[in-house]
Amino acid sequence: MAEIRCPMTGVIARIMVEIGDTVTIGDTVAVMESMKMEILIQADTGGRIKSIHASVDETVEEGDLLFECE
Amino acid sequence: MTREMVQKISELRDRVARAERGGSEKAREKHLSQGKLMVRDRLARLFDSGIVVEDGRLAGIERNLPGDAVVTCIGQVNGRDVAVIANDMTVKAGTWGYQSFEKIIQIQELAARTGIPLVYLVDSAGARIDDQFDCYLGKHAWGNVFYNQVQFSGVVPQVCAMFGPSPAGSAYVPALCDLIIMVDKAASAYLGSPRLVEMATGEKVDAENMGGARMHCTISGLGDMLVESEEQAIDAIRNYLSYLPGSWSEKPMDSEAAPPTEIRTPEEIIPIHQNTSYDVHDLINSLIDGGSWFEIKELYAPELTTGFARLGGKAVGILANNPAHKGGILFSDSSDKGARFIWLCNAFNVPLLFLQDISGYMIGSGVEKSGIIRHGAKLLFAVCEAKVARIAVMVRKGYGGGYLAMSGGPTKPDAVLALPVAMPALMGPEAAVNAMHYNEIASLEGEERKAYIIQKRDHYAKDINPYGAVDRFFFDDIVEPNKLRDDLIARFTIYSRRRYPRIERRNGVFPV
Repeated sequence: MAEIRCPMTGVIARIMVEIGDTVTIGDTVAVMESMKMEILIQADTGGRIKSIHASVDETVEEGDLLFECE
Repeated sequence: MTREMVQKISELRDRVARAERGGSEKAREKHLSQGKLMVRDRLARLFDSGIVVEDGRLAGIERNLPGDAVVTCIGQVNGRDVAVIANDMTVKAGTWGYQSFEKIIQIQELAARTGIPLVYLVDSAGARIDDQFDCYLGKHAWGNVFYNQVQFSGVVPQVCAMFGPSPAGSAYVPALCDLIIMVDKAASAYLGSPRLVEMATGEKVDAENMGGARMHCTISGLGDMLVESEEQAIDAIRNYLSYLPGSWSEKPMDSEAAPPTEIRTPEEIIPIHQNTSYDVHDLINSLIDGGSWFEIKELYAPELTTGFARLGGKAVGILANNPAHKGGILFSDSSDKGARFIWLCNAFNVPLLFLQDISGYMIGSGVEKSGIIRHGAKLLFAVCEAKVARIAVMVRKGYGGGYLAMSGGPTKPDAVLALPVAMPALMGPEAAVNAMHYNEIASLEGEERKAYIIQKRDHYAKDINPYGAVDRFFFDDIVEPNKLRDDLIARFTIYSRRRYPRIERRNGVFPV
């Protein structure tokens, strides 16, 4: 089971994948906003999205679990 | 020649052959079976044409410890002399004994006195425990190697490649070098071995997870460069040294200038919208001589990109906020990374280029607990202390303390340039309007409040452009992105001739 975690504190602006989507390393899975910047959250692992643990406009912290892949 | 002379020559040759062969056949086979190079093969790859001078080749030979498990020698790299200290893992697991230290100390001092770089090729099980008192307490022991590394830090370049372990105290040999290259899945550094850790604390962990190359190059920050093979590590040392002079009092060598290899121009690369992410490597590659990028700590705190390059054939150190990672904002680790890189460049006469695209230091309770203020102060300290030629370019955003830490105008760089899309400000429009008009905003409601905020924000945003700043001579010039390369080359050529008055003191009191 692979996990995609949040790189820094901020607010989720967009979620780019749905459960069941296949992602490869480097794919943008979500976009967050922090410090006036759009931060791309990219998959550091490949696989099929099994679960999504964040929603748009939610505040997230560094290290929070956002996606699980299998 | 008499028979006796023939006999004497043969005795010597026999010893030299044994010394150069290294450890026992079994140890050599084991070493090679791990895909590792023999110590003298590493040296052959490092040098232009072999060892020129070697001392202590026959140390330990009468005790069956060829070289006392270390080769210390001088050879040429890129046509210049370089001193090397190389462990021989096949002799008593590369452990450091008393003569190892004496050999190392002697060549360190020779390198410093002749002004040539020191290269450490590390592959060792650590100090020789059966010689522990000599090694540990002796006045010419282990600690002397560290002492010399510190004395000569900033005097001559010291670079280390790790091919295997460097446990316990010997982990400080790489730690006290300027640059550490680690071979993935082979190099490791830790203070206590997995066995010792389990005995002392009960924690069960393997060497790779505790102190492996990848961990150190991504998380701890001890490693500067992760490579896949010993050959890559040695080639990286040769490449690294090509950006540096032999010692602090000289200048780096010039190379032939080459045009950038990036096919897109800076104007095509830089997104006009301030909050859009892009990879600053593309911008760097559109400015520098093609093929000249040598990145340091690529995998660690990547929101700040640091590395050597050449501009018109001349070496330059680049620090660039990278919006592709964490928005290019400065954190504690990226501040450390930047400070250390500035110290390295400043020590060895490498001019500094800052590419600013920063909305500030990260804020919030998490970073305060991580010590963002004292780590941030370290970067500011290093910037203000740098004496080499220094140019700052505001690419897009340059807000607040982040602007200063990235060599902003008040830190006295030789020049501050801005691109036409630059936005200099103490903070962004949203935050500024909220700070300045908090009470008015609080007294309004609904649509009225929204309209008020938009009006104030637009008013504030109108002032955030580079022309107000250049009008008051805060910026030295506003440069078209596609003309930036030529402008930087011309400016660095002039600024690099500048001299500095010395300030008398023993040391500044560095924030760490």
